[in-house]
Amino acid sequence: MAIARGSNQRLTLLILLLISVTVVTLDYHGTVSRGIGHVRNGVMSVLSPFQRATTAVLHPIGDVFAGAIHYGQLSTQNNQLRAQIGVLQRRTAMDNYSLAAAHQVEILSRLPFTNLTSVVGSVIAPASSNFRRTIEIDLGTSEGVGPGMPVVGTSGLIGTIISSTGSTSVVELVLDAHFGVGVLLGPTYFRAVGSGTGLSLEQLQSTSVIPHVGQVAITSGQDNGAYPPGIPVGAVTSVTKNASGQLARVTITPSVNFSQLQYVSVLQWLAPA
Amino acid sequence: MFEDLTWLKVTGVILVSMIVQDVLLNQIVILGSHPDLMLVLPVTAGILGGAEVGAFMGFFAGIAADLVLPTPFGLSALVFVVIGYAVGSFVASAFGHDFYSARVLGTTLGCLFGTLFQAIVAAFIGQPGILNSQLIVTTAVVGLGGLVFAIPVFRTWSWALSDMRRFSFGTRMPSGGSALR
Repeated sequence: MAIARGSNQRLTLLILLLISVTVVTLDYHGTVSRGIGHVRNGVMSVLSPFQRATTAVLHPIGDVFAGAIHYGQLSTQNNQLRAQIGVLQRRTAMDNYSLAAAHQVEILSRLPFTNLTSVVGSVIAPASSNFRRTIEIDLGTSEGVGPGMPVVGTSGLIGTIISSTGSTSVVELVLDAHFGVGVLLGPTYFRAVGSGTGLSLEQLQSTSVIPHVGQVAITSGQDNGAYPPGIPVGAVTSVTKNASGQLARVTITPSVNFSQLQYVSVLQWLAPA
Repeated sequence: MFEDLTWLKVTGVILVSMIVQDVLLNQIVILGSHPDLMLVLPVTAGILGGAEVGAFMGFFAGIAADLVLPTPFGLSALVFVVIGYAVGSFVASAFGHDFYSARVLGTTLGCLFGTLFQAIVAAFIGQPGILNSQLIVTTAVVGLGGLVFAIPVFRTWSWALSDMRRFSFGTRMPSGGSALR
C-alpha cells in the first residue's frame, strides 16, 4: 500500500511538472505567448481598480507618517497640545504632499529634455515579482500608451512599457536586468544594462575612452531608435580598471529616485519598425 | 482526489490569496522585496496534507501567481509544484503535523528554501539579474512573510480541505477522517 501510494505521488509530481514545463515552453512560443498575454492583461484589468484603491489609501498614510517624522517629537508638550500639533502636522504634510504632486505633474507636462507628445500618469503598484524591477502605472491603451514606449520622470529615463491593458501598463525600470539602452557619455557610444540596483556599461573592451565619475549618460537614439536621443539616464558613479589598465566595470546611478516615484510621463514614441 | 466542494473552496482560497498578494502585499516593500503569500500556500498545504496535496496546491497557486507576474508564464507553477511536494515529503516528516510551532518553523524554512529554489530555476531558464545580493534580502523577507502568514494560512487550508477524504489517486483515507485534523 505504501509503495503504491509513493508511486502515485511520484506520478502526480511527474504529471504536474510536465504540464508546468509545457506551459513555460509555450510561453516562449509567439502565438501562444500572445494568447497568454491577453489572459494576463484581462486579469490585471480586473485587479487594477483594487490596486488603485489600495494605493489611494496607503500612499497618503505613508506620506503623512513620513511628514510627521520630519517634524520631530515634542515630548514635553501636554496631550492636548500634542493632539493639536499632530493635526497641524498632518494638514501641513498633506498640503506639502499636494503641492509637491502638483509641481511634479507640472514639470512632467513640460519636460526640458524632450518635446515629444507625452501622457502623465501615476504609479499604482510596485513590482509584482521579487525577481523583476517593474512598476504598474494608471495609463493604458485607451490613453494611447502601449508596449515599447519610453517612460520618463522629471529628471530622466525611468524605463519602458512592457505590457498594457486598457487602463494600466507595466513599466520595466532601467534597474531591471532585462533592460538595456544605448547611451552617450560625451561623444562616445556605450550600451547600458540594468543591474538590479543601477546600470552598468557593456562593450568596455572595444573602447579606449575612459568615462569619469560624475559624467552624465544620455540616451543616444542609436539602438534602432528604441529611445529618443537626449534623455538623461544617470551619472557615472564608479570606474574600475583591471590590472592591465583596461576598463573592467563602469556603474551608473540612475538620475531618477525610484523610492519616491509617484508620477511618470509616457513618451508617445515607438521605435521605427 | 477532492470532493466538489473542496475544489470550490480551494479555488476561492487561491483567488483571494492572489488578490491579497497583488493588491496589498506587493505594496509592503521591505528593503526592495515583498512577502510572498502565494509561496506560503503550497508550503503550508504540503505540511498539512502531504506531498501530493502540496504539489497540487503548488501547481494551481503557481498558475494563479503567474497571471499577474512579469516572469515567464508557468515558472511559478513549476517551482511551486516541486516546493509543495518537497515540503510535503521532507519537512512534514521532519517536523510533524501536529504542533503549530513545528508547522510555523516548517513554513518559514519552506519559504526560505522555496525562494532560493525559485531564483535558481529562474536563472537556469535564462532570467537575468536574479542571483545577486538582493536575493538574500528577498529570501529573508519571504521567510519572514512565511512566519507571519503560517498560522492564518494553515487555518484557511484546514477549512478548505476539511472535506477531503482521499489524499492520493485511488487511495482512501485511513479510518478516522481527514489527515488534516
